[in-house]
Amino acid sequence: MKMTCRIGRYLTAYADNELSERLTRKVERHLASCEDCARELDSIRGFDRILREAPAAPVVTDEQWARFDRILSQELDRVERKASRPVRIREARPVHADPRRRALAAAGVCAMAVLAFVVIGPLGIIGGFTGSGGGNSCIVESLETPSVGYTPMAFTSNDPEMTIIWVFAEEVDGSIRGDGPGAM
Amino acid sequence: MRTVARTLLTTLVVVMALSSPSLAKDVTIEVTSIAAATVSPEALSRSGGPIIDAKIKAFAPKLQSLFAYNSYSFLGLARSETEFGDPIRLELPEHFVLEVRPERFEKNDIGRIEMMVTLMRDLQAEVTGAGHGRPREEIILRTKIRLENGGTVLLGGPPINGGVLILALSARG
Repeated sequence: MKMTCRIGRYLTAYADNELSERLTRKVERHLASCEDCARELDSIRGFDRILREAPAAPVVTDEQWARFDRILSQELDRVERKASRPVRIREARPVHADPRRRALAAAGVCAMAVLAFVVIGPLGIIGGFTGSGGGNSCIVESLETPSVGYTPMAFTSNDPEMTIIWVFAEEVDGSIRGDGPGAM
Repeated sequence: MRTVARTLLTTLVVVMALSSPSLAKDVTIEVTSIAAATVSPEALSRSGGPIIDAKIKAFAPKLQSLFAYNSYSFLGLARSETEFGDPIRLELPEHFVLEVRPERFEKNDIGRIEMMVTLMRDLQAEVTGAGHGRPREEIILRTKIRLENGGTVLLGGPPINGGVLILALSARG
């Protein structure tokens, strides 16, 4: 539809039979001479047809609502009953007030903590790749392959954060170079 | 009671002294060697999906998001400690050798370890079998990197047995 066609604004109402008799005749006269508006009208009618033929949205029946309401009420009652059940609180024991025993206990806890760090620390050394936290940020300062037939490249991935240094090996006569003693 | 407290305190002091940085090595290097390959659709359907070695299952998602291979096998794990300035040689599977020389610890917001990394292949061992003759090494890659402390960088590409070698190199200082 050309935007210059002033009649175009009536097309939707025309398709829906909402125009007065006078306007309907005017639109029809225009449609007889304007191909663009005729195409636009076909498009509007096609769209209406699609809407009519589209499957209707599922409707929740009164019976279904009532069932939902019943289940919800039962569930709320159950939660409420559980919450109102008496809870038995164990009587708290008094903390031992002897300062010497407290100091001893503190020293013991410190010793255990240091021991745990010394023993467990080295086992958890590798962080980034095995997933125990930490980043993998890596800056590649220089990159070279002194041997002929290899091309190195560095890539960085953000997710997961990882730098990959990749060596592309060229093939010589179908065999990978370096496979035999004469390859160097 | 006093004797017990003194014994505990002495133990604590000894343990702390043993764990102090002056006695410990400066840098720990760990290298996980992985063979990656693309296997046939038949082999994949037999295994019911990508073939991932159980030993590297923990980081399989990372590998799969970074590479297009569908088979990952664990070849070995090498770990060693060294000091800044001292190179270490890690003998890897398939006659590969990785030499790592940590150069300095860069103290900034995250902390980085600057190191020279050289990947070599022992051609002599490949021909005659490991341990025979003088090593005749081909340098495949030499790189200088500044890796976040505790982080991992992946080195890969050299072909092995129908696939490629991938090394996960981690360093902690």
